[in-house]
Amino acid sequence: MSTSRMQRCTQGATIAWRGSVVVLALTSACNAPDPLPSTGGASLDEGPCGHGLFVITSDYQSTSTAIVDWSGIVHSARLIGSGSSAPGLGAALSGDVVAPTERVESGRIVLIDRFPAGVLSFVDPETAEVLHQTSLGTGFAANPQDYLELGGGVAYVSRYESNASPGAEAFDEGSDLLILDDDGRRIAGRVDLSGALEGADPELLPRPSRMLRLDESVVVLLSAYSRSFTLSGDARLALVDPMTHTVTGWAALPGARGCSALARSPSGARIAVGCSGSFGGTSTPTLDDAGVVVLRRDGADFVEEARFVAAEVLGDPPGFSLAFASERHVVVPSFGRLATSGEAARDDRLLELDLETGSVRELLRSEREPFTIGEVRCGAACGACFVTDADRGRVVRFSITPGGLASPRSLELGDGVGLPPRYLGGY
Amino acid sequence: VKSQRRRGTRGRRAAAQHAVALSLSIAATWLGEAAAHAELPAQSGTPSDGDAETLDVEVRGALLPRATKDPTVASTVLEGDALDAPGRSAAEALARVPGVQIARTGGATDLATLGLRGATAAQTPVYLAGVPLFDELARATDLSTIPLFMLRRAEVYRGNAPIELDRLGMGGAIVFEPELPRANRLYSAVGLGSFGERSLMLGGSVGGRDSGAALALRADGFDGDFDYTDDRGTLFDASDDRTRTRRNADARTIDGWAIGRLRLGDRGQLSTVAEAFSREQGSPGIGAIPATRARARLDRRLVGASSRLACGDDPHDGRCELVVGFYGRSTDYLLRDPLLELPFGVTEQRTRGTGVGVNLSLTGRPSDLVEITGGAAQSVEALSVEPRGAAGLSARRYAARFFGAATLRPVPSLALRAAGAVGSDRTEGPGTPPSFLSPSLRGGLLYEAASFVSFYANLGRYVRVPTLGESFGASATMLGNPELSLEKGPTADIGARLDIVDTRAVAISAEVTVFGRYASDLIAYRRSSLGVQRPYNVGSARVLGLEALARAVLAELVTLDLGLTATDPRDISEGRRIEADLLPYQSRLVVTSGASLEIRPDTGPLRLDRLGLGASVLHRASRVADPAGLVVLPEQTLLEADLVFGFADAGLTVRGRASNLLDDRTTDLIGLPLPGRAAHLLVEGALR
Repeated sequence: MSTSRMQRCTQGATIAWRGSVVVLALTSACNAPDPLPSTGGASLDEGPCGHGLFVITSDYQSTSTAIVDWSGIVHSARLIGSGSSAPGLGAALSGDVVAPTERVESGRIVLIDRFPAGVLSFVDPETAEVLHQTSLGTGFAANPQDYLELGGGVAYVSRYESNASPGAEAFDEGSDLLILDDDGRRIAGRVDLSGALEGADPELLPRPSRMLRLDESVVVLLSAYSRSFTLSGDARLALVDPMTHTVTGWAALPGARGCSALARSPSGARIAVGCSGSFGGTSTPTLDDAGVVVLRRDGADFVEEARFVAAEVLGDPPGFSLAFASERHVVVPSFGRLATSGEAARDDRLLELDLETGSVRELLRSEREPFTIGEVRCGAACGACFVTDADRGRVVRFSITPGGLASPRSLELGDGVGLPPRYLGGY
Repeated sequence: VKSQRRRGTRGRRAAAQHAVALSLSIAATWLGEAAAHAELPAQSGTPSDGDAETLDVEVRGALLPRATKDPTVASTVLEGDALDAPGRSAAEALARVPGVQIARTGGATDLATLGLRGATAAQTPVYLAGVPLFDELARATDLSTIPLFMLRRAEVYRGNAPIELDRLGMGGAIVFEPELPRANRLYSAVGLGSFGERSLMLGGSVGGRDSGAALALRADGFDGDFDYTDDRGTLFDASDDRTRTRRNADARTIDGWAIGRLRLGDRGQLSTVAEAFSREQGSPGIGAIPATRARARLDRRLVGASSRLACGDDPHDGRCELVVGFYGRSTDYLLRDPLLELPFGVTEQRTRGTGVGVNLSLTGRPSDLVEITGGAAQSVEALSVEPRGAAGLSARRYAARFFGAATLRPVPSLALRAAGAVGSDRTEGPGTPPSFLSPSLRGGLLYEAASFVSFYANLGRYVRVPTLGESFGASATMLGNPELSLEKGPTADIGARLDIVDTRAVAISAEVTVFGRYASDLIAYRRSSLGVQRPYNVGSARVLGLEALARAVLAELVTLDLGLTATDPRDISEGRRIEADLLPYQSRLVVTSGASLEIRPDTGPLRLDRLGLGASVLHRASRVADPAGLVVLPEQTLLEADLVFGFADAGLTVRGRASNLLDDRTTDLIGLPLPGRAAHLLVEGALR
C-alpha cells in the first residue's frame, strides 16, 4: 500500500472516530426525559378517619399516586409511581395497581400491584420511600385483590387466581387468602376458602376479592367463577376467623353474580355487596344478576335487608366499588357503555341509594367516556365521600349531610403527569 | 469527488435505469465481497454479467445499494453478509436499517416485530417472495418466521412503498427476495451456537442461462435457555432478585424451499417459489412468571409465481413490459395453554389464515421521456379463530386494487413520478360486514444535480384498512367494530444522495433524508362494555425525523458504515390529558456503525482465499414504554463481531459471530427478557 493511501486511510479513520464521538454525544441528548421526581411525602395527623387518602391514577399502562386529606387538600401530587425506579423485567408499578378496601391501620400506604406482577408495596407516606415489597406470586400470576391488616403485624391478602400446577412452592395453590406476618414482609400461610363453596359446582373457584373486618371476623367476597371464566356461580361471603385462619361460615347471595364491591356501614351493622352481573362477552351486559345487596349480620348468618336490582332500579350494572355514606345511604357508581361509533351509549353515573325509601338519586355523570367513574370512598366520621372521575381527570369530594351527599367539589391533583384518577385508599 | 468514467454511448435514460443495478455488480466486485454472486431482480432489467463487463457507465450508488422498483423513494437494501451472518435473525439484520425500530420478545425464534418511521408493526407490511406475510388478525408480521438462508436481499422502503405492492404501509414496507437458481451447485451448512442453537441445511440447484431450479431444506433447533435476572416484580428490593434460566423457550423449525426460473425466450422470465415452514415452540410468556406448559405450532405454506414479459415488437427496446403475479398462502397457528398460564383465557386456540392473490401490471415507455404503469390486483383473505370452549370467528376479505403511475423525465437529470391506487375491500363475517374504499396517492421526484449528487422528494397519503380481527373481533373479550374507518395520513420526505468513488483509495457514499409523517384515526382498543373491549378510531400521531447513512471503503480493504435515525414521535390525539406525548417504544435516536476488513489472500496450501473480520454496534437511546412517560427503558448498546474464512473459491466457508458482546440485558418490551452474549458458528460447503 502506498504512503498516500495509508495517509488517506488514517484520515478517514480519524474522521470516523470523531464522528462517532459526536454521535455518542447526540445519543445521550436524545434519551427519553426522566420521569418527574416525587413531590415527597406528607405528614398528616391521624383523625377519626385515619391520616388521609391516597389516590391512584392510571391509564392501565402506568401508575402514579398522590396524597390528599379528608378535607380535599392535595398534600403530595406525586408520591410514588411507575417511574420511581428504573424498570427491570417490569416497571416499578405496573398499570394495574389498586388500594386495599379497608383503611391501612398501620399508617403505611399499601399498593396492590395485581396482574401479572402480584406485588405489595409498602410506602412511608411521610417520606415517600418504599419501606419494603412482598411478592405474592409463589410461582404463578396470583392476581392479588385486597390487603387487610389484622393487627400484630399479621395481614391477609386475597388472591384471585389459582395455580393449575401447584406444589412447586409453599402456599402456591392460589384462589385463597395468603397470611402475611412480620408487617407484611413474609408469607406465613394460607387460608383455604374452598369450604365456602360447599354445594356449588365443583368447577367453580372461590376467587376472593374484597375483604372487610366485621366484629371479630373477616368477611371475604367470593366471586365464584370457573378457572376459564366460562362458568359462574352465585357470589358468596365467607367468614374467616383471623385467630385460627379458618373459614367459619359462608353465605350465598342468590341471583347475584360478578360481585366485586363490598362495603361496611359506619356502625358495622350492615354490609353492602355490589354485583355487575354475569359476563356475557357481548356489547350489552345482562342485568339479570346485577345489583346491590344490603345484608345485616345476625350471629353467624347474614340476613338480606334490601336488594337494588339493576334491571329494575339502577338501569346499569354497578361498578367495582361502593361505600356507605351513612347508615341510610349507599353510594355506588354504575357502568355505562360505549357505542361502536365511539360515542357513549350510556354514561357512567354515581348513584345514591336510600335504604329507607328505596329511592335512587344521581349524583354525578360521566362527560365523554364510560368506565371512568371509579372508586368511591366515604368517611362518615369525617363527613365526606370521595370518588374518582377519570373522564374529567379529577377527584370529586362530596359532603355528607343527613339528606345524603351534597356540595360536590373538584380536586385537581396537578401532578404534571395527567394520568386519570381511578382508585382511592385510606391510611 | 469525481466521476470515474465517461458515460457510455447508450442513452442517458437507459444508463440511469441500469445504473443502480450495474453499480451493485461492480461494487461487489470492487469490494471483493461474496455479493459478487448477488443477482439483481429480473424486473429491473438487469443486464447479464457480460453486459456489465462491457458497458461503460458511471458508477453510482454502489456503496449504498438502493431498491430498484422505485428510484425516487428512500430505500435501503440488505444483502450478502448483512443477511448471511451465522445466527442472525431477520430482526437483527433489519435493526440496523435507518428508520427501523425492532421489538423482540426473546430469542431468535420468538416473536419479533418491526415498525418504520414511527409506524406500528400493523402499519408496516412485510412481503416474502412477493407474498404478503401479515395476517388479518393483527396484521403484524413475526420476523422470527422469516428464514434468511434462502434470501438474496431485503429491500426496505422507508416511508413510501412501490405502488404495485398490495398494502403500501403508512411507514413503508419490507420486501424479502429469495435467491434465484442460476448455476449447478450443491451446498450444505451446519450451524451451532449459544443457548442450544443448531442448524443443518442442505440444498442444491441446477440451472443456466435459460432456466434453473433449486431445492433447499433447513432444520434448526434452539433451546433458548438463556439466563436473566428475575427481580420478582419488587424493583425497590434487590435482595430477592435471582438469576433464572429461561424455560419453555425452545423451538424446532423445518423450512423447505423450491424455487424455479424459466427464461421465456427473449421476452422475459418466469420465476416460481414455494415454501413450507413448520415450527413447534414453547411460549414462555413474561419473565417474572413464565409459562411452563404453553406451546405453539406454526405451519405456513407459500406459493408464488411471477412473470415479466416484454410486450412490444422488439423485446429488447424496453418500451413495453407486462408483469403477472400470483400468490397463495396458508398459515395455521395452534396455541395450547393447558394451565391457562398466558393471558388469553383459553386452553387452546387455533388461528388459520389463507390468502390468494393475483396481480397484473403493464408498463409502457412510449418515449424516453415518459413511463406509464397501470395495473390491478385482486386478493381473497380468510381468517378463522377457533378458541376451545368459546365462540370463534370466521371472516373473509375480498380486495380489489387498481393502481397507476407515471414517470416523466422532462430533462435527463429530472424524474417526476406520480402514483395512485384505489383499493376496495369487501368483508364477510358475523354482524355487519364493513366495506372500505382506500385511496393512496404519491408524488415524487428525483433530480440528479451532478454526477455525484442527487436529490429526491416525496409527498404521499397512505391508509391502513382495519383488519378482520378489528372489524369482527378476535375473542370474547376483544370485540370487533364494524364502524371503524381507515387509519390514514400524509407523509413527506426530502433527501440527498452523495456518491464519491475512488477505486484506488477512498470511496464514500452517503444519504440523508428528512421526513415527516402524520397519522389520524389510529385504531386503539377501549373498554366498551362490561368485561369487553372494542377498537375505535381514537388516536393521532406525528413523527418527524432524519435518517442518515454513510459507507466508506478505504484502500479496498476496510469498510466503514454509519447509520443514524433521529425522530421526534409524538402522540397528538385530541382530548388527551396526559402531559407527556412521546410515542411509546420509539427511540429518538438510533445509531449504527460498523467496520470490516476483507482480505483476499493468494491461495496457499489451505487454499484460503478470503479472510474477513468485522465489528458493528447498534445503539438505541432510551425510550418510554408508556404514554405517560413514567417507564423509561434504558439505552441499549449491542456490539457484535464476526469473522469469516473462505477456502477454495467458496467451496468451504467458516463463519463465526459473537453477538451482544457487551452482554446488554435491556429489553425491547416490558417483562420479556432477551438473551445476553452469544456465539454462533456456521460452516458452509459448496460443490459446483
